Amino acid sequence: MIDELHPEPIDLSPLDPRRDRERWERMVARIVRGAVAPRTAWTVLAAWQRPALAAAALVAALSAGAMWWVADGRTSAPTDTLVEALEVPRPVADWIVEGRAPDGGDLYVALDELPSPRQP
Amino acid sequence: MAEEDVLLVERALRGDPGAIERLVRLHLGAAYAVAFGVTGDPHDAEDVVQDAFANVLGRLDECRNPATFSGWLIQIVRNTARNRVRYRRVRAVSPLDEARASHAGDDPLRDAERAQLRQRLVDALPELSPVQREVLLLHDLEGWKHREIGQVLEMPDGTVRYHLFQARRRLRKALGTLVTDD
Repeated sequence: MIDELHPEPIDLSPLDPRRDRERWERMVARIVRGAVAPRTAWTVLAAWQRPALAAAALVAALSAGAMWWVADGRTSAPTDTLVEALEVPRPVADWIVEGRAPDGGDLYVALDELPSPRQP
Repeated sequence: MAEEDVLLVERALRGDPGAIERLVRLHLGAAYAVAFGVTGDPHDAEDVVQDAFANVLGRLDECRNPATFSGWLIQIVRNTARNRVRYRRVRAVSPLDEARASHAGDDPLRDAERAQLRQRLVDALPELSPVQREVLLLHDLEGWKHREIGQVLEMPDGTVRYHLFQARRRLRKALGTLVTDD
């Protein structure tokens, strides 16, 4: 019986893949052959291809994140690192960072902070 | 079918080729209908069912409940088909294959008519949404019941009925348009 929600079905039989018997049997045979084929080392490796790729992508993402984090940490205080590397006295470093010319008091403090000459 | 599936899965796990073939024959039609529904292309559908069956039969030991083998297979077919659609490349369909496929019978005139009908349906089906195509093909081509479709496509029976109704209406309209265009 055809009610409001069951309009007459459309004949879809031309789409039925079983109509082409030969093609259908070929499809069945291919699937069965693939399923019963002995598992070689290559097929075992191939089965791991997707998980291996996923793991590699995860490692790459974590590495990229870690590199970014380290690089970001390094660039956050470049002046300090440079100052420390060159052993520039703290008051001089402050002039450089603040971009101002030193006055007399600054020069006095800077000279006072210079390391004393080494004894021979 | 679920009881038969349980026995077949058990035998297939013991490496019985006959059981594997029986499983394939039992479920290939529905798998093809779903793959065709999602991809909208008969050639893609064939590739999808082969990949999906290879996947399922290759890890049959992971099927925790053999009684639900059908649902498990259909889910894998749907996922494979969706991936196929996502990464689909433009592929030229060989007219020779089409011709060969449509001239399978003894009566060339009847075969030609059938091929024409088939082509009209293939042309009209893209007017439907993938889920409408899946429901329509499983119901009208494979003869599945609303409840069975609802179980594998994870939707209530009422939704299945609604999709079926909409699918038939839209397909009829699309076929009508194609006829008018002819």
